[in-house]
Amino acid sequence: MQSAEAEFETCSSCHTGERIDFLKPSSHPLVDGRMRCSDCHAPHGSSTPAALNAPTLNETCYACHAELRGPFLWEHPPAREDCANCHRPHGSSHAALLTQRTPFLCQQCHLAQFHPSTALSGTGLSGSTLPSGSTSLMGRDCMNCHAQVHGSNHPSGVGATR
Amino acid sequence: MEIRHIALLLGLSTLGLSTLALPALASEHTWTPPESDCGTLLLDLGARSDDAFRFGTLAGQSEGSGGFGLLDLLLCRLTAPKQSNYWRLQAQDLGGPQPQTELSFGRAGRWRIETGGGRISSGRSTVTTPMRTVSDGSQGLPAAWVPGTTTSAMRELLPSLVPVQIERERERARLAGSVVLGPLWQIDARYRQEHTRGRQPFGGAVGSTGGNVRAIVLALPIDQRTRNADLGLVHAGPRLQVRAGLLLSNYDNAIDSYRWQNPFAGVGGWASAANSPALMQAQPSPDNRFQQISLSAGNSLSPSLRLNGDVAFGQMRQSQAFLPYTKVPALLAALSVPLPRPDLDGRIDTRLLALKLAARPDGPWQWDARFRFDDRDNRTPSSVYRYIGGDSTLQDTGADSSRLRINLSPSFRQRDLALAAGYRPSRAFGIDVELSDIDISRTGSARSNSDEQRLGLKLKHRPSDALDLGLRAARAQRDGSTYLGSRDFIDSHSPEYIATVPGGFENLPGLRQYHLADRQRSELGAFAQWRPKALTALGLNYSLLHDDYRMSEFGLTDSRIRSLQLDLSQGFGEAIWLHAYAGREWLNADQAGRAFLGGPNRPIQSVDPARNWFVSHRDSVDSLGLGLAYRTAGSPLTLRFDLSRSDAQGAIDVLTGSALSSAPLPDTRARLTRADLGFDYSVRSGLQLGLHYRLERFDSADYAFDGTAPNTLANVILLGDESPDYRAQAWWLRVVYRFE
Repeated sequence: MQSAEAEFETCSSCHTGERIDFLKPSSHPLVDGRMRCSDCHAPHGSSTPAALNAPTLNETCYACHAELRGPFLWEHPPAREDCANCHRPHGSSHAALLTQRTPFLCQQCHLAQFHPSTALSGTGLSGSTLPSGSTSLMGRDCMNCHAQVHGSNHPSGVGATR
Repeated sequence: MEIRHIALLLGLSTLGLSTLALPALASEHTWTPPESDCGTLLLDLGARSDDAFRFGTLAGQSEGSGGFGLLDLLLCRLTAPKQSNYWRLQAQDLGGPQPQTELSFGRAGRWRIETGGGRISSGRSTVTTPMRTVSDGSQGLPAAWVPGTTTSAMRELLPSLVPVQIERERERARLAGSVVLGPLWQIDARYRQEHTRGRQPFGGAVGSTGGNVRAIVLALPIDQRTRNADLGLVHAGPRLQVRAGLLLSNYDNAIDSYRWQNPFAGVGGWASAANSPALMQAQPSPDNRFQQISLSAGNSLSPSLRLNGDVAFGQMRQSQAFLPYTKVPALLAALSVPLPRPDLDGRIDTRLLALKLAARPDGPWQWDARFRFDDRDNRTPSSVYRYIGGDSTLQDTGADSSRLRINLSPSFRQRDLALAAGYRPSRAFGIDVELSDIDISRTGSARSNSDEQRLGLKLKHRPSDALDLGLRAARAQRDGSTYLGSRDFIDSHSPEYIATVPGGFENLPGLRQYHLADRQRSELGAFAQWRPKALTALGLNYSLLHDDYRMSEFGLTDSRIRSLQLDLSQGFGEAIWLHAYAGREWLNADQAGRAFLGGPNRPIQSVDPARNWFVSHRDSVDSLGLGLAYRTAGSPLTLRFDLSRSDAQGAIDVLTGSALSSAPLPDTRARLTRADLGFDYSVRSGLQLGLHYRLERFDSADYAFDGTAPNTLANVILLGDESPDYRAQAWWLRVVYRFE
């Protein structure tokens, strides 16, 4: 058994792409020795494509993020299907290990009338006169209101707002 | 078995390439004593800067300069040498924000018990909010609060701001043990508990009538526990190996509801009872549990043929009592249709079967066949709910109401088949080919079935002992059943309502959600490892992942990720080692959409190409690392320098059709630099002194946060958080004392 740091060094000496991912600003804390590669992966093999410890990727994630396991009354189906639809598990240049910056990530699947389909650009930035700026672009953008993106269990949480 | 080998869990007794593979890692406070250091005490005493660290062992401390002390301890002993009994105790970072402890004891080859725990911090950042935590746990506004329809009318907003710290802290504890029952049998058991606390941002929406949504981003508490227990029975025979397992997982959220006072008032379309200071309410993640039984087995059918199999049955359950439709008493009293059930009674049954048959006959050929079946059967009951939008309206009981909603319970079933063959005529050459097929079935989805075939090729060649070359390429094609983009929209509303929606769609019909869309994927990778001299190693890696969604009119249309990395390891004699790497990753993506409004505009605008828009993302990440170490046998001095830098840059170009207008978006940037420098000197046998320095520099630019304040937006009260920009530094004196 190696220390967490030594284990990471061993694995990343070949998995150099993952090494760079873990040094990105948004990443799981393996570099710091607070997690191990073997927390998620079985180094000698398993039945999953990425040699994960749990039978599926989502079950691997739920081991530490059980609050996202549900089931929820109002599910977000892509999240239920595969966490990697929106997240890069090792590290990302975007917040929360996301594959793309929000709100544009959200708009890759949600193009309904009014604000979901709005063309978001510099016209939505806040100016010197306040208040100004687009609610869908500034701050936490979509998540200014739709906070429960992984699913909501509130009877009025249809739009992930409760 | 030498018990001290068991105690040597940290394992880096010599400096080789692997120990230098990661600059900025080994100089963390954690240290790796040599085999003889079973009795070791390490003390760090130092000072840190005003800015706080957000990464590494010092993350989690409050801002502000000051002193700190960290203590590490490693003790391990044979209690009865001839019986191989042992115990081992290790503590790291005691006195710091993220301490860790481990205790293990047992009898080699017979039984073993391990226990330990620790704390992980996400680091802290400070934001501001007008909300105060009230004694009942809700978020309340100051007494002098002046509500308004927008933030511009809230004259007490800025004067009332108070600082709040955002942090997520995980406290972990674990207990594990194993008992050898005989030459072929073993029982192992593990229990792990994690208690997460802190505060997190949460968008508290208020009202949802006709685009009049208001919100306040709150800093809300976290207090949740996850308990996992795993019991296994293992048989390890010469030909057959089996593990039967039972997993129990329980998630318990101590916070059943989030409640906050509405800071807005007088918004058109709201019921007057919803105006400030009415309490709004949301539900955090509900308690849930998961059980799973599993059986994993491997059997050598012959010396060259092996069969592995996994089967698992699990169940996710969630039945926390529902909160009411609304927290506003007047709206609650006016409800005419109650909740259809007291709780969800959510249930997902999971089934997994995985088989692998692998042949390794004598000679150059080998082959594998794999089958995998992953079924997540969502048995959660569907019901009709008549929700209250944002705690702000009376219940709408009309049959054609958009607020009549049916919860869908999406199920998922995936079947994988793969055949792989390899040809390796010598150690210097190998080629592998794999053909796979992935079939996915879903319910409640725009695409009920998708199918992907993939063909992959790998080549490895070693032209000489000093050079390794590799190439991999793959092509995959995904398509499936007819894409019905409105399926979930239609299934979750009443037919009467759908009849009122022009076109009967919610999302644009030309949209293809990327995880369901037709996709052509191309993968390419190449590597070279060159060792021209005994102490020199050079590496080159290139990879490309290209996803082409050419059948998607709207949504993600193209994604291309490329990376190039260079590695160098160089020894200068036996005493000095240098490792360096540099890399660049390009992440490009294109997406398209069409802006359209509702009402009478909808039928015209939703088909108007002049309202199209296109977004191109051009992101890149530059990575750089450098590690330098000096250490030689017999020398009292060791030196170490580690540097890492990750520089992420983002550029977004927006193009719009003639009916729309756009303006450029500023580039984004997140640049993290970490450096560690230090030396240790053995003043006498068993006593070492050292001096160390650490730097963490994070500077970033993000148009969504920089320069914002809680009153920046009209309809949303923000937290006023900025993108990170800090320089944290620390230096410390180190004393290492080794004893028998």
